[in-house]
Amino acid sequence: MIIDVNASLGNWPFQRFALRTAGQLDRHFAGLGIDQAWVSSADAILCPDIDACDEELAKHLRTYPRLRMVPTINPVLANWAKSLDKWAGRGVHAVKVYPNYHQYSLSSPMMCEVARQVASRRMVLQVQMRVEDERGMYAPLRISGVSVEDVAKLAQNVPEAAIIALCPYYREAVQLAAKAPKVMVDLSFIEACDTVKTLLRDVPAGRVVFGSHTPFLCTRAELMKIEAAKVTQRELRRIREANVRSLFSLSVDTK
Amino acid sequence: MIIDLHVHHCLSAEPRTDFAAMERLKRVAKAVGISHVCLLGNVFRYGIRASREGIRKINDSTIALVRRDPGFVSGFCFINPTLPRAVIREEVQRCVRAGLSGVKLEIDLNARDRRMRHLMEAAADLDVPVLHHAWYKSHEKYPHESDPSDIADLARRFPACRIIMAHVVAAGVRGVLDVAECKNVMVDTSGSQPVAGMVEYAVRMLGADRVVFGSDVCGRDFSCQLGKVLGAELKASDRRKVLYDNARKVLKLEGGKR
Repeated sequence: MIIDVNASLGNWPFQRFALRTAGQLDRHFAGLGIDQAWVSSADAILCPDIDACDEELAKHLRTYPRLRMVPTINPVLANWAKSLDKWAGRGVHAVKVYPNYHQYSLSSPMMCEVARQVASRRMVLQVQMRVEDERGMYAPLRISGVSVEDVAKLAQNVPEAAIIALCPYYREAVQLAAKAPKVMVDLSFIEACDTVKTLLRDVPAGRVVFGSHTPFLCTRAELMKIEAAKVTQRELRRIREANVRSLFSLSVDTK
Repeated sequence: MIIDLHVHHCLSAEPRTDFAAMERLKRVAKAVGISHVCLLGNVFRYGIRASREGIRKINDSTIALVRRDPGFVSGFCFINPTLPRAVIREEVQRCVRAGLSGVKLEIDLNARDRRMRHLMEAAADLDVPVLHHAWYKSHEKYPHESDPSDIADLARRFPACRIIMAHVVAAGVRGVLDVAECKNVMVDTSGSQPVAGMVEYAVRMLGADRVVFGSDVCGRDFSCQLGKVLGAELKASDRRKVLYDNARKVLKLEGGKR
């Protein structure tokens, strides 16, 4: 089984996606053997009315059980707690935050409160460290990546939070492993020669999860990182699915 | 059969002796079906604008690796185009005679610079292609780094020269359009994360004959970069051109081997 923790549906002004509907996304993942994909609204990154974007996403995903809704929470908005209540009530298992696009610090008191409330509902908190390679961003909209220090501080401030850092670079994943021992990282932006085997020398297998960052990135390319990995079956299984499952029962040893 | 036209061997302080690292690289490449690689040199080994001696050491390393395993390895010579004309010509001639198949340029000199003439003339005279780094950056751009518009300018000034513009994913839509009318320019598929849709766009705008697979290992991963082409919505015949036919022609390989 493969669980992809990092997918989106919607529009992005700087890229024309080929996968534009839930049906296309579902067929695409099915064809590649991805059994479950966690999907957020790409529109919610820049659109001020996040709740409307997420309601639309929920409507689109309703008939595709493979695609699991991950709503976006922006603690700067006055309605964030109501939104979180609503989505928790509808059974979502994770929420996503975009601190640098929504302009707040992960160590701010309001973000700590979000993390505490997410943890108290036994949900996973996804921190999107970046959406695009900073070097190629549209120049007037240059958004720096979320720093490793900020993610580590959040993990320290709210130790009960189950956090997945999405789209860290290789060096950031290694730094996170040292500074925030419980935080998991997805593979989407991590690349080196023989990616997974190399990464597991620096980051425990229990800390790595599969994320493709579809449709921004090519899913097949991301999958090939794990298909080509010369690591043990146990390690691969952890990356493909077991680590994600363990997040819902934090007593599981992640070493 | 798959040929990777953009591979760097990031060797140790004694590059000529580091054949073991090349064997490891070969195992990783073969595991995903890559049957031949083109080494472009350990281009930052002696810093930006490396000296004549530094360039020579880099190229000696590439030549040694090509001679050791010509069935799997081809190579391009690396040149700092700010070196004197005679030095450039002599080094390119030396490398081509030793079996290297082209020239690699990095970020030592912007492609618009008039000093590019010496290198481009040498490459045209020896009938070898020039693979040139290019990237559209809004962030972290190096002082002399070329972008695709610079490559287009170079291609127009030297129409007899064959140019391979590296990093089409980092060139983006704008970069592909920059070189679309320059028929002497091909692009390689490397650059940045495997952004969805860029390989398809390059094939659509340039034609499959002008797109060639490159991974940019060792900074990148053979598997992921190859997946970018395997995962692209392309006709089987076009995919074969990108992964094999075009590079075979560039490297003048017979049946995929030297």
